Amino acid sequence: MAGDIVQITALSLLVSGTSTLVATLIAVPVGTLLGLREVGSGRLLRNILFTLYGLPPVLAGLLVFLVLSKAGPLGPLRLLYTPLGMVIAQVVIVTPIILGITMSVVSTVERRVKDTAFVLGADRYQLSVTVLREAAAGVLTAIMVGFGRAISEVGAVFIVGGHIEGQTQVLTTTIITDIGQAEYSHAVALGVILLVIAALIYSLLYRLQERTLA
Amino acid sequence: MHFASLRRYVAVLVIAAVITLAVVATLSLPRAYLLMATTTSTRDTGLLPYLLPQFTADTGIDVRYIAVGTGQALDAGRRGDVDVVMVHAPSLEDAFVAAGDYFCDTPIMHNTFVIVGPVGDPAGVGGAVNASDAFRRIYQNRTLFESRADNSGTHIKEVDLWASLGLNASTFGSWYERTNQGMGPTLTIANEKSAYTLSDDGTWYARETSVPSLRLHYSRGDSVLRNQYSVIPVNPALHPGVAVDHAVAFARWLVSARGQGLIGAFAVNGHTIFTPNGAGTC
Repeated sequence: MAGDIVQITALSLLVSGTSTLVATLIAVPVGTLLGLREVGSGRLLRNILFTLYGLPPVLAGLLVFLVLSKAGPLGPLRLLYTPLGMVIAQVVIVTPIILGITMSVVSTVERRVKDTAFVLGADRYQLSVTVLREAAAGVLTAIMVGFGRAISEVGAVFIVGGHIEGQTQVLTTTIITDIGQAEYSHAVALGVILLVIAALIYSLLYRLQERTLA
Repeated sequence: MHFASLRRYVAVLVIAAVITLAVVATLSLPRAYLLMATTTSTRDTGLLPYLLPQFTADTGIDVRYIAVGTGQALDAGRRGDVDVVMVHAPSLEDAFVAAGDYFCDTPIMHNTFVIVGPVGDPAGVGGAVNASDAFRRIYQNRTLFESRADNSGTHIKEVDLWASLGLNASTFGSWYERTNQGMGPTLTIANEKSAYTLSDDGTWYARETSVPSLRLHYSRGDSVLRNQYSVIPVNPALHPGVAVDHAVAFARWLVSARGQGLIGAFAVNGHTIFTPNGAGTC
């Protein structure tokens, strides 16, 4: 056990929320652009992105650890074992997920509305916005799925964060160390918090989707 | 969603990202504390949660730590990712200190390795005349044994004990299982599988009540079972930016009369664990 539950929960939300926001700002514009491209062009890029879509968090953690460690290329920034380092690791995990889903949704919608939009005299930017509007529910799903992956991920935050008490402990890493010390009731309490967060996120997602579709 | 409202969404997203990033950065950048890499036993016994607040009260220096195996702890120091390490594997330490990665190395205390196993003691470890004999009995009976196999000080001691019998643990059959995990998880696994394992006495006494199918079978404290802990500040000549002053202050405090007194008084569930034997070599 060890560590304040409120602090651990707050850091989990902060780290995963920040990663998801940053990943959204990267992935939604890029995913929209790639989704709007003609079928066939950029196929290699799309294949690479779909491979990253399944990037194991623990591998992302290892790579970010090696990059942030003092002997690594970004070592002088001293970001290993800090919340910012954990955010970097989770951005690496979450960005391909949001990007992949956005791309799929946008390319499906694009095929549907493109001709109509051009007939009505839309330029390329207006087309993008129209498509994005039609695809909003799908993009929201992408973001929520990304957040769900971030908050439930344990390998990368453990490796990069180091699980330092009062500094980089999050819900998932604390559950692991609790089990190692047979603090099962504390672990279950944290597990329930994770479940409640997931339930809140997905009920919010459901409401937003209903409103967007209405 | 109109064109204007799309821009508004983007603006809200950007602002939210900037704010949360700023909060994360504030939590990350000023590292005013001493960062230590240590073995899981010092955390799992409760020694660090007991000792560190006293050190902070005495000196005003805040200490945070990552708890890993001795091999990984020493490597974190070698990479310069932490300021100081506290470990217990003299054979590993010597190699790292000789390589110049460390500023100084001072012993602080020792505890004892114990052999724990299933309730009935099927291998008869309790009747062994010494630690090697106890391991010989486990080997001869091929009773299930959980090895930490994580390059920790405890794992290295275990491999040395097999070697003292002329045995190479890497050739053992299926009765010898490798958990690759810390002491706590390994005790949990040994409990579930009714297996023997080598533990430090501190973690054992802290965990005893949560592993009901295990018992302490050998705790005679032969000198070969002595588990020596050292504290080692990282060398600032090789790793500029490590907090060597605070690290040395921590090492000196641990071997001072005050630090040694606190270590000697520390008890886990009524058992005194650590025998202070600090030497002022830092």
